[in-house]
Order: sequence, then structure tokens, then C-alpha cells
Amino acid sequence: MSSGLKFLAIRKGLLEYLLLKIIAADKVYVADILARLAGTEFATQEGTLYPLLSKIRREDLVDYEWQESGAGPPRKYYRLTAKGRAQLGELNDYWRGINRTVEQLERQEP
Amino acid sequence: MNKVITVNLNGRAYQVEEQAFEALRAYLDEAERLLADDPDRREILADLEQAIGDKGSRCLGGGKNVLSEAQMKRILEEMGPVEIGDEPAGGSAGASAPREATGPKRLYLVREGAMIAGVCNGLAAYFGVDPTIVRLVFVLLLFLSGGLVAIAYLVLMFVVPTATTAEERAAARGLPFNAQELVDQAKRHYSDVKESHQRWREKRQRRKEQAFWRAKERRAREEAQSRPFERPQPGYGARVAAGIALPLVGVISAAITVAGLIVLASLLTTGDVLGWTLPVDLPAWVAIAALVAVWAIVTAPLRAVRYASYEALGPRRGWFVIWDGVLWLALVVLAGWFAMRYVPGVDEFLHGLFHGWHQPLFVFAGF
Repeated sequence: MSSGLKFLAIRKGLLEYLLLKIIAADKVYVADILARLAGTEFATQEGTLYPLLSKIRREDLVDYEWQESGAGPPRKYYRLTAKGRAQLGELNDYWRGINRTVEQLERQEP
Repeated sequence: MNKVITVNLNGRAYQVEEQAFEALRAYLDEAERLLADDPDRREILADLEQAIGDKGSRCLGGGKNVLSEAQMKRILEEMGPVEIGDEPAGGSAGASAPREATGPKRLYLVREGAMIAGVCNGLAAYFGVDPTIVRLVFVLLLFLSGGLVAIAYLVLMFVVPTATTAEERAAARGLPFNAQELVDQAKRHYSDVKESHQRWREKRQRRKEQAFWRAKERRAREEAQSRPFERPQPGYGARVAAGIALPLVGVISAAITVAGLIVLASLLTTGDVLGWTLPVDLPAWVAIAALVAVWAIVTAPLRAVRYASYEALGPRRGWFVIWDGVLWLALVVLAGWFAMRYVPGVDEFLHGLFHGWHQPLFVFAGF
């Protein structure tokens, strides 16, 4: 139970990073993001995603534009801002650093 | 057969069963509650409604146009509970977030993370720099000025009000404060002050003091009206004034106490008061009673100022009251020590007082 909670904390912390990665790769709307995350450890629901998107938009990391869809109402398509790209770069470096540390520690084990 | 309710989800109409409507409303109410502090609440709620509607549309078709309770529950389960980030509500979204328009900025003592009284911390908050830098500069100046800065520190410690509420802590950094919270706080504080006011009033029936308070209250109210974003009372200015007045009153009342003791001593030993000899037929106790009366009259306005200052300091005045008492005591003891060492006769008098407790002293006093 407690290890599950620990994993949850790690997943929560990384979700924003993954979100930036997904949005950087392609102009996406919420259903795309959910589909990309579904089936991974990071499977997410709208209830979590919308507030998080709103937060990183407030932080000026992402931006959106309305686009008409073939069926149904217009959709919000998200993309990274310059600031978001810079932050993603930093996060990538940081993530690589973490990986290196973990690998080094593993190698030192007997 | 079930009753059907039409709902508007982000501008589109959907027909849902009554129980489905209840579930939907519970979900959206909870979402609204959780997002209460989120500046983009409206937009997120609209997005959520939109997503629920989209999912609902996919369930319909094939001749069906009403969402059942089971379908709605599945949709809401897919949506998942609304989660907000771990950042504290109302806190800034990290260093990367752009600073919003600034609110009223004031110098306060900031106790959170303070080393002594929060003077450096408050200055750091005011100028928007790291407290460590201010502390280093302070220590540097302390050495350069040969300790003079310590006096400035003490003065600031007494004069600058302490930030005790979230609103004041925001003002210490010049950040805007949520208007509704401000109103709530002002209301709570007003009732606080009113209550403590009542207590003081019961204790101190003196009309003079009451008049003093009323004038103060009126002034505070007028101040609050002219500057609507300040909390009504006690105002920042009143607290600064109280911080200045309290040590002054402490010094003056200590001086009066010492003077009173000197007069009392000379009355008891020689029967003289400042070179004026008491009439022989006047009993000593009358003279002492007269002295006490004079002392009470002289100190009454000082006491009025002191209580008004306590009042202005608000509910967290305890610390000040203790310091005020310590200052008074220290000054009286200092004066006594000084008199014993440098004023001829005082030493002998005190010795006589302690050694000849049951001797002519009381006989003279008429007991």
C-alpha cells in the first residue's frame, strides 16, 4: 500500500514532464493526450488532466487554439510556447541526470 | 419508466435520467468545490462539461437519445475525480509564474523563519531579496557601525508591526490578496477587536479612557474608509504609533515611579517633601494617601495611552505587554541601583529599611 503511494507520488511528479513531451511532439487535443497515456503507467483521466493543463497554461508553458472538428464542437489544440520548450529542455537534462545517477548506483552494487 | 431531465453541458443540451442527473450534479459540484481556488475554474469546469458531453454523445445513437444512470456513472468514472496540483492554494505557481499586479506593500516583521524578531526577514520580504543577504548586510553594518545598528534593530523591532495574518504576510511581500478572504478576515478581526474592546471596557471604567478609545476608533474607521484595501482596525499607522508610544510611556512611567519612591522615602525618613516640611499636626498616613492620589492622577493619562496602544496592537499583543513590563522593571531597578551607588543617603536609608524593620519607621508612620 505504502509503496503504491510512493509510486503515485513519482507518477504525479512526472506527469507534467510527460505532458510537455507529448505536446512538444505534436499538436494535440485532450483525447489525443489521454489516448497516448492510456495503457502506460501514466494512464490519466480528464479530472486530473484539465486542471493540470490549465495550470501549465497559466505558467505560460503551453498555449491552445480552437479548431473545428469534423464531428461535434470545436476542440482545443495544445502546443508548447517558447518558454515551455525551454522548460522541457531543462527537464530532459534533469531526467537524463537522474537516470545516470540511478545507473551508477546500480553498477556500484555488489 | 424514468423521468428525464434536460441538462446544458457547456452550451449543448443533453437528456439524462433523473438519477443520472443527480450523479452528474454531485460530480460537478464536487469539482467546483475542489477548484474554488483555481483562477481558471470557469474554464476547467467548461472543459469538464464538454468532455462529459462528448462521452455522452458516443453512448447515444441507435435510436437512443437519453443517457441512463449506468451510462452516466461509467462516464464519470472515466472522467476520474478532479485533482488539483500539490501546490498550496493561493500560493504562487513557482518562480516561473509571472508576478501578478502588486498589492499594498508594507514593512512588517515576518516571524516565519525569523532568527530574532523577524526584522531582517521583513526587510527581505519588503525589498524582495533573500533574507540571508539582508542578515549578512546587517551583521556587516553591525561591525562597521560599532553596534549602533543594533539600536536601529531594537527600534524597528518595537515600532514595526508583526505580520500575523495571511493578508499581512501578503502585504509584506506586496502581493495581491484575494478580495473575499480580505473581507472575511476584516470581519473576523473586527469582531475580535470588538470582543477584546468589551473586556477592556469592563475592566477600565474611566470615562477619560473611553473617550480616548472612541476618538481612536473613529480615527481608525475614517482611515479605513479612505483606504478600502486596508483592514479596518487596528490600522498599520495605529500599530506603528503604538510601537513608538509604548517604550516612551514605559520610560516616563518608570521615571514617575522612581520619583514617587524618592518622595515616599524622604517622607518616611525626614518628613520632608522636596524641601517642604509637613505640618506637625498632619498624620503621616494622610501624607502617604495624598502622595498615592497624586501619583494615580499623574499616571492616569499614561495608562490611557498604554491601554490604547495595547488595543491598537490587536489580539497578538501579549509579547508587547511582557516587554513593556520588563522595560519598566529594568528601568526602576537601574534607577535604584544608580541611586544606591551615587546618591548619598540612599544606601543608608535602604539599609535602615531592612535592618530596622520594626523600629521608629512605623512609629513615625503612625501605625
